[in-house]
Amino acid sequence: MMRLLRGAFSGSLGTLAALFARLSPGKKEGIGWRVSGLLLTWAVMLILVGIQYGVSRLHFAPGLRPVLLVLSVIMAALAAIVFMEIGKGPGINRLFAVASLLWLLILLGLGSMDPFTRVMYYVHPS
Amino acid sequence: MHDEAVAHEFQYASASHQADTAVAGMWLFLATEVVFFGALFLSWIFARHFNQAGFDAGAERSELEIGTINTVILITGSLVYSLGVVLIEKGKTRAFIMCAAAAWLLGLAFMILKFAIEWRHDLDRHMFPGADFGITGDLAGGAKLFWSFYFFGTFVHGVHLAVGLGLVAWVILRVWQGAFSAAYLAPVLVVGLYWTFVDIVWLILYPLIYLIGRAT
Amino acid sequence: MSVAEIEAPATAESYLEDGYTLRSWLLTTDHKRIAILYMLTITIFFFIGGIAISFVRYNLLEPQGMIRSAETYNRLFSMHGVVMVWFFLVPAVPVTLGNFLLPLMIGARDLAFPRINLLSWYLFVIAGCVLLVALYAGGVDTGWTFYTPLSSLYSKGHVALAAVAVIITGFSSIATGLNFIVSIHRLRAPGMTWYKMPVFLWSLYSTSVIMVLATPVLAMTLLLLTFERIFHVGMFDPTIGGDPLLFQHLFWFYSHPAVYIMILPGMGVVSEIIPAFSSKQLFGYKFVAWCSVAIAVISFLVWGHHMFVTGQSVYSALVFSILSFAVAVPSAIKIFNWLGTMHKGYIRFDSPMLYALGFIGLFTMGGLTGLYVATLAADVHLHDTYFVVAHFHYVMVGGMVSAYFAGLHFWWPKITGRMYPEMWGRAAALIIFVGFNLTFFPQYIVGYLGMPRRYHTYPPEFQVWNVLSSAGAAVLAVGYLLPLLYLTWSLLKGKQASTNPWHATGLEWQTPSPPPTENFETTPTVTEPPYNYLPAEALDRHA
Repeated sequence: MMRLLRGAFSGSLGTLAALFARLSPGKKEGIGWRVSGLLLTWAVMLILVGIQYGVSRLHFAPGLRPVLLVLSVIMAALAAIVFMEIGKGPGINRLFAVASLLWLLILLGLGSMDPFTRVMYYVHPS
Repeated sequence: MHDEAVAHEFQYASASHQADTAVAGMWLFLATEVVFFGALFLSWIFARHFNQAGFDAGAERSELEIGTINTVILITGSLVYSLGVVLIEKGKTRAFIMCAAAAWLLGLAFMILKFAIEWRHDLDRHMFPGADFGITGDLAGGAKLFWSFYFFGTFVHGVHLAVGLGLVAWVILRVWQGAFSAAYLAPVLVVGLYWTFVDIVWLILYPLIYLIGRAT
Repeated sequence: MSVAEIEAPATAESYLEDGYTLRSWLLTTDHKRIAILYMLTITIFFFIGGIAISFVRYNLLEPQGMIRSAETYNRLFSMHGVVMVWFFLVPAVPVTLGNFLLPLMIGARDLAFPRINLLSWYLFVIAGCVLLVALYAGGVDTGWTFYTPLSSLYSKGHVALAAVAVIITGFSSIATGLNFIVSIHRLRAPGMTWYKMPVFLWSLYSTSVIMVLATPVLAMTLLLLTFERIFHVGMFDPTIGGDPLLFQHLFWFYSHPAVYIMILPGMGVVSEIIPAFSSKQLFGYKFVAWCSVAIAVISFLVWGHHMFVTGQSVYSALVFSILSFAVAVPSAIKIFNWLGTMHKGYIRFDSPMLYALGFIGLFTMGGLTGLYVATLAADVHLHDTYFVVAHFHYVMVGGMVSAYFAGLHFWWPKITGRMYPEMWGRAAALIIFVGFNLTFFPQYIVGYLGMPRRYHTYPPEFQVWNVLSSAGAAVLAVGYLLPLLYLTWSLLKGKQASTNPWHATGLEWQTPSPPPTENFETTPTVTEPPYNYLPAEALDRHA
């Protein structure tokens, strides 16, 4: 079944590649650089997924493995900057995005302070 | 049609004032979504911190291949929709419809892989953390926590994607009817932001579910 | 009295005359009409919550309990908490006065997203209906905090249904907050800079920040709880290694800032009323404005002080305790600034001002006792006693409900076009103040003596305090029923209100009472600073 899936996937990738060829920078003036920017970002993100997948196959300490999230954060940032064009539009768009990250940091930071500093006392089952 | 399309509500100074505000509103909504999923991520931190061995033992049983393919599918889906936005801004409405339809199909492919194939496979292996859970012994508790996180997290993400599919379908319909065009793009942009955001959530879920637990 | 009251009738129809059908109300996108819809809805819930607590106070007249069943008692106080927090206090000022006034105060014709505004009311009504179904089916017995694992695994109440109701009302609150923030950023009239905005808008903005960034966490938390409740397995289950304290962390990440959702708008209302009835500029405008923002931000950093005695890490508890003291600073600055505003002002004791003064006194007491419970060692003694109950009722009821009534009386002429009977207004303000203190001051004492909250019986030596408290509750009930009667009466028989009956500043007082649908015939241009009151003028007017 896995092989079937992989086959279907590479097939659809081929169709997409054909679609992108029709949008290639040479043919359409004005939008070429934006299209190539999008395609480049897409390629970089796929490479990052590949790296993330590859690194995850390596053996390293369980405590260190959340480091893999760094690649996800980079990909998320790329998606926000290039696909969602966060640089465009009124400045409050950026304000809202930054605020959300700051509050996420508060939630995860102050929230995980407790489990990471908590002392667990073992109770004998008697 | 054209005049009606660029009309604006009476609290705005102009159509572009209204359009920019709609986009800003979506950014703020996405900020609420960030903290919404943030609570889920905190539950992951707690569960893994207190039960690292069991949690990872559960994670090792997840379907890495399907997860990875789905990640590629969603990234591509975001790309295709963004390409469509570039095209419709230049007045290429038909090309936009093609792109948005491709994005929609990719989203559907994700849903089928995730829920029709992966979930069924997981359930067949007794990975639902209920009475006949497939992992026993010392690690069962932590593994149950992982699979609770898995089913809950993928379900909530799936609901978001389903909403995204509905919105993209609506945008395709309205563009096809001529209601949205280069002159009035706000809904197309707003839906695009949401669509890519659902992808971003998955980019974080992907290592949390499939990669971090595979230490061995 | 003055020229302002003798003026030509407005040319435009008022928003109340813009359609008389039910449909014209239920499908309206006018922020003013939605405010009225909300006002009616939350009034209903206020009295539902009030009835529940009347039974609780009745039960506590006798040490062994007037109601025989502890289970029934648990369901009554839980329903009181759920209804009052999510269906009255959190929405109270923002969705009624805020909805009505925000566009008027920034000089806009409506909010940024009028249809989302209507949607938020419908979500609220749906949530209310789900809650009423849960109530009718038997209610919940977990307290308003839904602590796990009682709520997730053991409770016999309708927890899932109540949780769904709270999730839906949360989305309603997010919709409102989002609308407010975007409107304040994008729809201010020409010349309306941030520092020309009334403080009420600063506090609504700060409130909205909390609504938008805290409520989603509550939604996710209660979804996790519902998941665990339905499938009997989940992230909070201690038998498989889950951490029930995780629930408390997530719950209080929302619910502590939510306490400030319930007080910040009240502070905004008071900041409008004190200068108007002292005929003096607001003292230290920028401090009051920025203190709202500071309270909103710091409120997110203190949630762990609800968990000092739960087994939370002591290091964590220490940090949360210190940060909790920090949040008291901006609140205190505001109190001093209101007092500074009144100093040497020309003070008029009309009903809004009486309620506002009540707010300052009661909130100060609630705030100062908050410092006791924020202290790690003191909290070990005070945690889960009636001291805590008294503390947060002084803030939420003494503070917020007083402020809601203050604002309701202040803007009643603007909203309805009618004046309420002033003598009745003053009488009700005094009865509420007396009744409130009689109800809750004994709870400080009985709590300090060691009476725990949420038990349906208590040792006989606490009876005198409990009887006093229940007697106070009866007085309070009269105080709350009075405005319902005379405000309704004023709709039919009240004197017509002029554009600016209080001689107040602010854009909302420059448009007719009640305002036309489009708020302003031409979009105003703002040149004056806020609170441009001149005491000398007030003296002339009353000479």
